[in-house]
Amino acid sequence: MWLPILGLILGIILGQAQILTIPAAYAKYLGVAVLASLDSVFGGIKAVMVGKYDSDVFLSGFFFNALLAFTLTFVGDRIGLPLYYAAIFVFGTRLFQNLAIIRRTLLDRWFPPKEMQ
Amino acid sequence: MHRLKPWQTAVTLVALFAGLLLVVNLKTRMATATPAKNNDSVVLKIKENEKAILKYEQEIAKTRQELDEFQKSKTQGRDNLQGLQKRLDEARLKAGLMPVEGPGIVFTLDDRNQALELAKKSGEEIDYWDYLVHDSDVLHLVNELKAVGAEAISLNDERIVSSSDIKCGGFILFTNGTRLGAPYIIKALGEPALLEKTLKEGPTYAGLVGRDYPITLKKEDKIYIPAYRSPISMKYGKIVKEAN
Repeated sequence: MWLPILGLILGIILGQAQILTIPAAYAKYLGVAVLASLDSVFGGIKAVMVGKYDSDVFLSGFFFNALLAFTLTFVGDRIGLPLYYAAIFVFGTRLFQNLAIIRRTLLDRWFPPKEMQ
Repeated sequence: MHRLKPWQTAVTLVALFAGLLLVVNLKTRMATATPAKNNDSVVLKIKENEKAILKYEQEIAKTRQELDEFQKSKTQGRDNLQGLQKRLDEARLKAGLMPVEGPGIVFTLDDRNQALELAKKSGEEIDYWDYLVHDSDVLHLVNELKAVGAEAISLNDERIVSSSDIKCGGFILFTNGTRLGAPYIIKALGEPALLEKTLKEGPTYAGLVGRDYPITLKKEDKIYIPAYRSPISMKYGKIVKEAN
């Protein structure tokens, strides 16, 4: 359960070490990539908690979502319309939904609901 | 229990990726976006103004030339006026309104760029004051040249006339309302040996050498010093009518 959070922290430390630098022009793409991967992380955790996790779905979902987000950003740049808002909106909404489900499942697990009498 | 479940590996890897990208993104933004944005418009404005100034300077030069030609055409063929014209030309030459050439010296003075690089690498605390050429240095050098009778002086091709300023502008200097950047090139017209000796034996030169500034000083048989290009204003002064 705590491994993903450990991974997140390790990633932050790796980022601090500046093993990767990206030109400022691609900051927008980077932002979308951050959202896509966060979305995948919480989506994965949620799927595990509700017992519906599937490796193929998880990994393919991560790569395809990121790819689609990049494409939207790129096309949006070309035609002068901020299409990546769509990706931000979807990923953002899903983050909240997934976190809500994770929260409820955890609450149920730690404080089991009392039987109605 | 010790074997990782497949979801743990996959989700952890993606989480690691997310954290990495997040920090790289933050770092990129902090490094580039913040300071540049606000300065862009100011830089643009400065560049626009400098372009306008250049245009005005060209206009001034053209008008002065037209005036010159007009005067010459009027005085031609009249002996009494030709004498006056000659005196006028002489006055303009002395006032710095005409380009001149002749023997002199070329003195260049640069910021201590190499020393600054070294200091940056060694990680010591940097006071830029110790590495930049200061307005006072240039002002004193020019003053020493004037004191021994340099007939014409330019600083980075800005003619030094009686109203010229040499003013600190942070990392640059201002002269005649124009921005000047290092390296600073002082050209002085006059007896080359005398000018060289004056600078070399003067206090400013010794100070610059002592503080390890990159300088060069060369005697030249022929240097060109451009005319003063900026406007001359005389708003409050009036000519005094002398008794004779």
